[in-house]
Amino acid sequence: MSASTSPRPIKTVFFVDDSSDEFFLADFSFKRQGIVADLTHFVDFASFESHLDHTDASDLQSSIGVIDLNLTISKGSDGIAHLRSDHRYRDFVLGVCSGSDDPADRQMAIDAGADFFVTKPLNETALIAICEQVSSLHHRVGDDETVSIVRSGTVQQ
Amino acid sequence: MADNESSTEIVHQNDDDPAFWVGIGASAGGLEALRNLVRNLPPVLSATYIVTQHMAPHHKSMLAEIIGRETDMPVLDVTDRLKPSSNAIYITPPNSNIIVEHGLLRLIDPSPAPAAPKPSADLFFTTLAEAKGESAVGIVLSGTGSDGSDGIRAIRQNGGITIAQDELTAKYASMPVSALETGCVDLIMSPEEIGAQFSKIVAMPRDLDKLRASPVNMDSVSELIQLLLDHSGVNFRHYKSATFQRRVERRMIAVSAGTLEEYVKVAKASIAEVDLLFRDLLISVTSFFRDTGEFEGIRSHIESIVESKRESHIRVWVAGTATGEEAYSLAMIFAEVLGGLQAYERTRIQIFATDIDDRAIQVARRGFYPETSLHEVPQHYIDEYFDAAPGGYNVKKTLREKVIFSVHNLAQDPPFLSLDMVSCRNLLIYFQSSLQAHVFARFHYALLPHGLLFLGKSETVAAAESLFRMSGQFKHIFYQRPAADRGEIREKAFARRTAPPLTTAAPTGQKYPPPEAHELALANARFKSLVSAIGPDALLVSAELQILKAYGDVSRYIGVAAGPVDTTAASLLIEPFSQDVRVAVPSALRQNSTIQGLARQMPDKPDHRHRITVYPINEGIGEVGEPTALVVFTEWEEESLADQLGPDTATSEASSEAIQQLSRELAIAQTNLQHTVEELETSNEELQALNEELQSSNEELQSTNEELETSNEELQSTNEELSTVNEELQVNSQQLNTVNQSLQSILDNVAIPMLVVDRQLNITHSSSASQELFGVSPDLVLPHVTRCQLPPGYPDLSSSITQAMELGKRIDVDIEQSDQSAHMSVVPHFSAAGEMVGAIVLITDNTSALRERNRQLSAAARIAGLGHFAIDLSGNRRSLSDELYEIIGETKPPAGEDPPELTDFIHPDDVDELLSVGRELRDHGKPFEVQAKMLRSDGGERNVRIVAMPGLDSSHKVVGIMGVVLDITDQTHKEEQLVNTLAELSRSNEELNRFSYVCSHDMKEPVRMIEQLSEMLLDSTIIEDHAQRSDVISRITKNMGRLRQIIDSLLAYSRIDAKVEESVIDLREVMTDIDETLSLAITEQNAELVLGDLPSVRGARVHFTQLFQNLIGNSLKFNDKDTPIVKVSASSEGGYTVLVVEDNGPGVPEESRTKIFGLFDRLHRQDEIDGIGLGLSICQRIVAQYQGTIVCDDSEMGGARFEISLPER
Repeated sequence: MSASTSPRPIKTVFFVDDSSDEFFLADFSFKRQGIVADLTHFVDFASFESHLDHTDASDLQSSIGVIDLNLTISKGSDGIAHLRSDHRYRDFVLGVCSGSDDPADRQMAIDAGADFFVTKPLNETALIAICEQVSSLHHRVGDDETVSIVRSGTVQQ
Repeated sequence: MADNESSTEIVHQNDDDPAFWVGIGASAGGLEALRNLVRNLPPVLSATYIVTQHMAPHHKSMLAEIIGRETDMPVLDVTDRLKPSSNAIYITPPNSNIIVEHGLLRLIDPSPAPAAPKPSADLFFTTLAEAKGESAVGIVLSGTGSDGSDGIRAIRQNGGITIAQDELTAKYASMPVSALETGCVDLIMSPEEIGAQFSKIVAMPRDLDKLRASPVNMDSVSELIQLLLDHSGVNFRHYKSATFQRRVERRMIAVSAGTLEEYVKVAKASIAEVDLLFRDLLISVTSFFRDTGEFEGIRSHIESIVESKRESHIRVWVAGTATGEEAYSLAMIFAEVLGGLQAYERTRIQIFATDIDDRAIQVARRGFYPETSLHEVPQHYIDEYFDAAPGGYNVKKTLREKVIFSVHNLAQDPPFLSLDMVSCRNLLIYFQSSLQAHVFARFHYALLPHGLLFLGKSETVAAAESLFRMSGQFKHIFYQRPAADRGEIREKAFARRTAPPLTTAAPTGQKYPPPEAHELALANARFKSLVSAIGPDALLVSAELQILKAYGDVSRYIGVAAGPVDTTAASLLIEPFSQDVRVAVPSALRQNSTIQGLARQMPDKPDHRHRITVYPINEGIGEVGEPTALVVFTEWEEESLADQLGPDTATSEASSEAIQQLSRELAIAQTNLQHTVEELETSNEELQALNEELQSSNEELQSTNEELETSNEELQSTNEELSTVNEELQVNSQQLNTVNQSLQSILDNVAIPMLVVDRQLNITHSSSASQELFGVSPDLVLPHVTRCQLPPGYPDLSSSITQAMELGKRIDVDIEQSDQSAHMSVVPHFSAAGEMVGAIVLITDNTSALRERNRQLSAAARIAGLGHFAIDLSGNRRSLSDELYEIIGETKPPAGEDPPELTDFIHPDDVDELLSVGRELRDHGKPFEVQAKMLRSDGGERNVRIVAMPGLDSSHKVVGIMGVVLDITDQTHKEEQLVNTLAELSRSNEELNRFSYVCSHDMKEPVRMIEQLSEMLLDSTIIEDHAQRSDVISRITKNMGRLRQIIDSLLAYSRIDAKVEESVIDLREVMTDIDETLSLAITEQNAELVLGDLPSVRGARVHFTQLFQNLIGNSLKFNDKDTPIVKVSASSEGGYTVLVVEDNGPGVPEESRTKIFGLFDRLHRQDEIDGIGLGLSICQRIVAQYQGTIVCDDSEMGGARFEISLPER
């Protein structure tokens, strides 16, 4: 690993949220900002987990999972903890989003194994915050590596 | 008004310069007056008070202390050169005179005269008057003598104010009366009035006239009396007030005065009115022979007087005679008794008729009375003693001349003396008893022993029964009782100091020694022979004519005439021999020669002649050895001259002999006459000498009298001093009595046993409690302390007291017994001089307090559920308290039986621990505190805390175990309840936190969504894309609806706790309402609502409507069947009403059956089934309001089943 290593782009964003409105807002934001990453929406954790079972591990390396903290049936933090218990998803970049920025919620998410915590809506600002938080996690990306989002035509860190 | 105000203004100056200097003079009885005066003195005046109280020169006076108790003002002894301060009272010390000099009080030596009062009020008042002028005030209080009178006069002359104590209030009135009689006294008041009104008395400006007329002055009656005294010199103060008042009221009517005060004004303005009042007061009813029966009674007494007096002077005093009728009546009786006017004229009789009314006396002296006045006079009296005159009768001059009229004040003027009779009728009834007593004393003094007192019909001598006795049948005629001490009577009669009566000189001793008996017998024999030779009938008489011895037969010469009789020859011999002896014996002795008397005839033997011959015996012959005379009686038969001359012719010889005989008789007669003349001359000379002697004696007596007066004054002064000392002693004695009574009362009533012992350990005082405690009889006099019977546990009293006295300090001993607790203190007792005189033993008996504390402690232990136990390790004895028996539910065993082992009642789980700590305590003295379960004998279980500690002996060895057992069952339960409550609170708090969090989160979500979707509407792509814009708006609307739902649900949730009125609710009616509300949903879903037999419950209708609406609504909402069925049923089980709502829907997963009751917790997404997740939370909260439960499980119908259990209420 060298200091001149180019940022690793995010290709897919798995967005787990029981609100169709949240996905509507995120999707609109991605499109309007020209973000090239795929935004995949799951209304509950079970469908997300099921999808992951069928996803290649290599695809997961360029993907991130963003799970709503307060799902109808379960809590997002519980879902992350559940995934982290599975060795296949130990290195999978996972985080929690929430409508509030309560530090207690943030701490609960980190404790459950989340790599980041962002406030909704899931737009460009949230994605940049995710990139910054994930880039600072050396155990996740290495000392010199960063994570970035890719816009159509440009890449911003 | 202004004048009034100024008239009562009081001059205030600074303390160093009193505005008024008040001198107070007092003597006997002054202490009481001073106390009354001072007690009422206001301490706010600018006045200083200087007291001159007569006191014994060497008496240590406590006057300042005694007076000091009556006032807040300082009471100080005067010191020389003292400048008196305002509002202070100064007492002149004994044996000093006090004067005012240069504004200072000076003490000077008293007058050396023994009778002079010390201190002299006159001297002080005089110097005070000169120094302070108008600022001086003189007050004369009770006392004998006249000290202060001159001083009062001086103060008055210098413009000061003078006050005398009202004599009616004075113990000794002489001093104030004397002051009053100076005419210089401004005010007469009681000491209390002087004190109370003093501020008005010294008000400025000075207006004495106004002052005297003001209410502070004497009352109106006293003022009238004073006016009368000033006008007439007659003091009516002691006249009976009712009489006085009646006379005044008559005058008031006469001058149209409505009130007494008005009349006083009239009297003060008119001397004539005062005189009229005076005359009116003097009017008394009188008439001739008033009360005829009384005069008939006095007649026999007058006869006795006349009979007894014979030739002596009869003296009669008719006091209060008025216009003379009574005096003349008595004169007529005397005249009649004496045998008529002529005899009356000859008799030496004087009738003194007196009255205070000069006009009445003038009428009496005239002796003219109208005819109507004589209707009670018997006609023969009128005929004999009156002369008819135009319009009436004049008393005959003969009768009138013996009656001497004069103006005389019975109470004040000297009385007539040596009286045989006093008549004072219907006068004393107007006098007060004090004045009556005074007048009776005067009458007694004036009368001869057993003299007669004639009073009016309604008068008695009750005021002086010791001076007079009743005559017998007549109640108003009295005899004087001769007094043993006329001096005392005289003192009473004259009120003022007089010399005591002279006492008779002691009899002289015998002049000659008695002769020897045999000599006397020999001389008598010789003398008898000689007398027989001279003439057989003889008398031996002394120079004073006392018959010493008779010889022969002298009986025919002896005879007793009427009248006084004595043993002198002059008295016993018949006339004319008595006359001869009176003449001849003194002549014979004086001339020492024999003298013959004239020849005398006696009626029984006309032819016999008798003669006395007196032989002087100057040689001391006789038994008494004094000059005597022998009177020899000679009798012979006398021949008549005719017989001597013969019947025929007279011979010259016989004639010559007869002539010679006659010549001898004549010579004898001449000699006797000469002797008589000489005797008369001698008597005259002797009388002259006697007169001179008497004059001399009189001078001596006068001198003696003056000395006696002086002595009397001294005695008076001493008496005053002694009176003062006596008063002080009486006050002190009273205080001492009070203190003694208080002490005795304290000793009788104090509950503390107390003994006071002297140095010899004799008990001088003991309280009743100590008598009871120590068994000492109160009848014993000074019992020794060893007589005390000591209760158990008490130390030896004698040794304790002795020890305390030897050490000179207090000794304290605690006495502790099983059933008593006491504390004994022995305190040395010292006199005022610091000398130890004994000790005081005080016992503080705390037994009852100990018992009370034990009782309270026992009650507290019982209330607190606290039992205690004690184990004596040495004897292995145990004792358990009653409370401990109650805790273990065991009956206390009878006395003598061992109490049960405590460990028998300890739960087996805890016995080992208790035994373990017990061993530690026993072996190492380690206290313990353990909790254990105790098994009661009735099977119950109690939680107890056992705390025990060792009982140590003096060597700190464990000899016992003492402990308490605290029943903490209730406490444990409460602690458990507390823990549960805390857990509930914690849960509630957590729920509240969660509620607030969820609320904020779930409410924020739609808000945030609306905000962001709204922003999207501004985006150009959205604006241009109509379909997208509609989509966004639709989403906004959906979020707004959700937000409203949340708010409505929260409102419903929060209202559950609100106070609502409870009532009995028929659940069938509730279901009917719900059926209507959900009818649309039921119809749309083709659902069926099956209702069982529902009861009525107590609660809020809104709660149960909400409860069932939510449950039934959920059943319909989540039901996926074509024909949803919802069944509602009820039952009663074990005091609970059980309500069941079940359906045939999908049911609730087992793991979610608790979660579904959480706030905003849902099993379905919003986009699947609409809802916000509060319905079941509301249901649970409602059920909790009624202390009920709600649980979810599977229904036999295949769906969910909600069972609600509510306690029946």
